[in-house]
Amino acid sequence: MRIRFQSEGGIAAFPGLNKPIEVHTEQLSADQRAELEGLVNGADVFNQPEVVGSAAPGAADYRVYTVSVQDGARQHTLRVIEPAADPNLRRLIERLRTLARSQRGT
Amino acid sequence: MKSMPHRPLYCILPPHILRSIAANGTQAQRSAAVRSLSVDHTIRLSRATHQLLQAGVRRATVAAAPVGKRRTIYTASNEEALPGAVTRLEGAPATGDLAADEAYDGLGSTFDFYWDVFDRNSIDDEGLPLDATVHYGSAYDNAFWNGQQMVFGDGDQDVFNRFTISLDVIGHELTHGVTGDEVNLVYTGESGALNESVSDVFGSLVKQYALKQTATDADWLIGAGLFTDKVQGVALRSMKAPGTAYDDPLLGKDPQPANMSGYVHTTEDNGGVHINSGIPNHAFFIVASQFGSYAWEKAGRIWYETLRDPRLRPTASFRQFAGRTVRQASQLFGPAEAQAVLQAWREVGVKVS
Repeated sequence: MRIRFQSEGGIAAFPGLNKPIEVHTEQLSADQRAELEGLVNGADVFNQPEVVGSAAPGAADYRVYTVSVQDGARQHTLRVIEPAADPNLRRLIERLRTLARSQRGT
Repeated sequence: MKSMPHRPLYCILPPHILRSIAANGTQAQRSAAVRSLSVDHTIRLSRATHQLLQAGVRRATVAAAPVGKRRTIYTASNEEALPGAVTRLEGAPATGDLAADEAYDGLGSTFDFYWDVFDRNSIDDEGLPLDATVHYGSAYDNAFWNGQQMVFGDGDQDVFNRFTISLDVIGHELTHGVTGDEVNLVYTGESGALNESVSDVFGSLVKQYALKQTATDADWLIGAGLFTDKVQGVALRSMKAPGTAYDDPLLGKDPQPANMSGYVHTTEDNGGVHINSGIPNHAFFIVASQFGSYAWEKAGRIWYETLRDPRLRPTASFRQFAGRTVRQASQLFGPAEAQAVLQAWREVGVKVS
């Protein structure tokens, strides 16, 4: 499974933090792979709409996350406007944020 | 009520002055003020007008809504559900939770600024309770306004400290609520960058007012203290010198332009609302520096009345916004001030027609 993740928006625009990351779950340890694929399946990514959530009137500084998942022949990209209502989707985003941080070395 | 279209404003004096005249003036002055108030566009002034028409009105009874801070601080306990559990109510003693107490105090300072300087009773000028959630998410590097309340993350503690650490960030978020109440500047492109800039302007003024700093003394930074020592940078943004707040191997370089010649066209970040806000931010800095003394007295007043100007549209461009600030400067203070505002916009490359 390939996962691409990008974050934009927030209280400031940081060019270094807005770069997308890509994860190939096959390259992770067995535990990490099971955890991440479990989160993707738990969030039912392939059945989510292309845009999840909407910014409330007047809302500002919220983040927008773009998640693309490719698993065999299946491929889906969704944009999630925070705060996401779905706790399963929130858990996936949180894990991807942590992965992005570790890929950047922070 | 918030969806009511703005009607043209027929009076020159700002509503808070009219209210004062109506409360304290002679009978003739009162009648004139009440007439002016009656054509204002907001429900709060309709309420105030109604009260003024009743006999024996006193200043204390002018405000239609209860005046005073009504803060509630919640904790999300590092989850992402809002608002979370109440951790501190208005009047309660400090909790010992640094983020909760900083949010409580910061909301208080922001409320005091708007009340003392602009006679504004909270976000909606009708005493709206102030709600904030701290400890949002896990190592969450952000703060936002969700349309109803403020939300603060703890930061990852590696690059970012907790987001309640900077008073101007708290003022920035609350001001998004004020903007949403007055003229909901569409959060994309130039109007979105203006929305962001207005939050930076008043966020910075909240801090300057709390510290009683003049325009010369102020640091004009947004989010000073937010970075850990690991970061090569001083803040999220600099209104004094946009583009210089940080230059760091991890974060990249501060992308803010100070002039229209550097306007960034992008689809990300709602069309670069946090990037191009550097241009109007710098215009405000120039105006405030020209006037000297306390920036909230003249420059802040001009920007505040511009935000309340019924002729300012939600889709305003930099140029349209600039035009209204010049007009407000002229009406509030006079030709010299209007010329200074005009010149500041010229310096940042915004030509006012």
